[in-house]
Amino acid sequence: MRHHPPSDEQPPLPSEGAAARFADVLDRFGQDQSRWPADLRHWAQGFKAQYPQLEERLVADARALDAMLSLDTAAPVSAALQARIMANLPPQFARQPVRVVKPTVSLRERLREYLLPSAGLVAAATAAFAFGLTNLPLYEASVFNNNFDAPAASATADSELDEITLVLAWSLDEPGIWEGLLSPSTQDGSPL
Amino acid sequence: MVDPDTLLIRRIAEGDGQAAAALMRLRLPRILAVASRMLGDRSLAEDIAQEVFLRVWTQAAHWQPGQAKFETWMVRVTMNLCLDRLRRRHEVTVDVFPDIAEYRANAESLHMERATQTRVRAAIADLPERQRAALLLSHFEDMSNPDIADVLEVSVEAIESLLARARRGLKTQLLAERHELLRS
Repeated sequence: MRHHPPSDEQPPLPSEGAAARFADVLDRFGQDQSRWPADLRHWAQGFKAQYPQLEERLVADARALDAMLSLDTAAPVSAALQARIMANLPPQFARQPVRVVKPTVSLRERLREYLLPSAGLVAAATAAFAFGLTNLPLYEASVFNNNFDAPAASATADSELDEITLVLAWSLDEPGIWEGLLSPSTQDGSPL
Repeated sequence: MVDPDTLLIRRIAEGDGQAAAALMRLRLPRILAVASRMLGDRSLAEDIAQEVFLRVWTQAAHWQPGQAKFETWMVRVTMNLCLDRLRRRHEVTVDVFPDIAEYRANAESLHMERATQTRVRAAIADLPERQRAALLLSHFEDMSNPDIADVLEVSVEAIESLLARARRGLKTQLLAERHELLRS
């Protein structure tokens, strides 16, 4: 067997105490030296300068251990567990209303949100009222007179619609107009 | 330092369910991970997480900001519940970690990655309770030694000692096979 002469590049042997201390510091504080106390960081720099290969080997061991521990990854949280936890909320959570922060609403948005639908409702109600007015006398006249002749009724309706349109347009302030419109009438328009 | 959970806790104290859900989404992964690694059993860990949040819902109104971070308090509650559970069982590893025991027996037949993970978990599970607690808070939760001391309610020096013994124990168990483990 061939014996190699000792190399001049080999580092000096450290004292057992210094190596053990460096390894102990690594174990106590981890391999991230930014988390070490300042005095130990300073001492570690001296150790590294004196025994660079040994320092490198001990730090590599610490990194390898961290890498192996990191193989243990955490499992994701299940939706079922979240539901179980939320189901444990005390009753006062259910009774409290959920607070919703209302955004600032401009006048234009309020008009769009409230006034326009209201105007639509008013218009619809007015139209329904007018439609009711046009049909009420015809219906009443047909029932009371036993007259189911559709063309005659249609003609009556047309004439009464013209009459109501004129009344609404021009004669709203004429005395006695409402009595004639709101009371049942015959086909020729005379009150019953 | 401002506690990021303070506002949520205040709203939870007022009975705000949305704040409760937000806090749960934010903190549950960490609480579950701590309990899972401490107990080595997913089902038990979920029970512990549920218990921790039940305490949050009931204790939020009594929380005084400025004492400690709320999350640190949650981790402390988690750790205490885990340690209580382990003490009640009077056994630490094989019987309390049925899944790990099973994986150990069947490691050869498992997928390589899962077997490696199981090997690491088994090594962690073999550590004494307090060493395991200190190690997982330091490594997995990236907590400083003073914060770990706060959670485990011991001195910082005691934490340093626990961490040193834990890492030495793991090196003894794992470093011999590190090339095989890290290759996988």
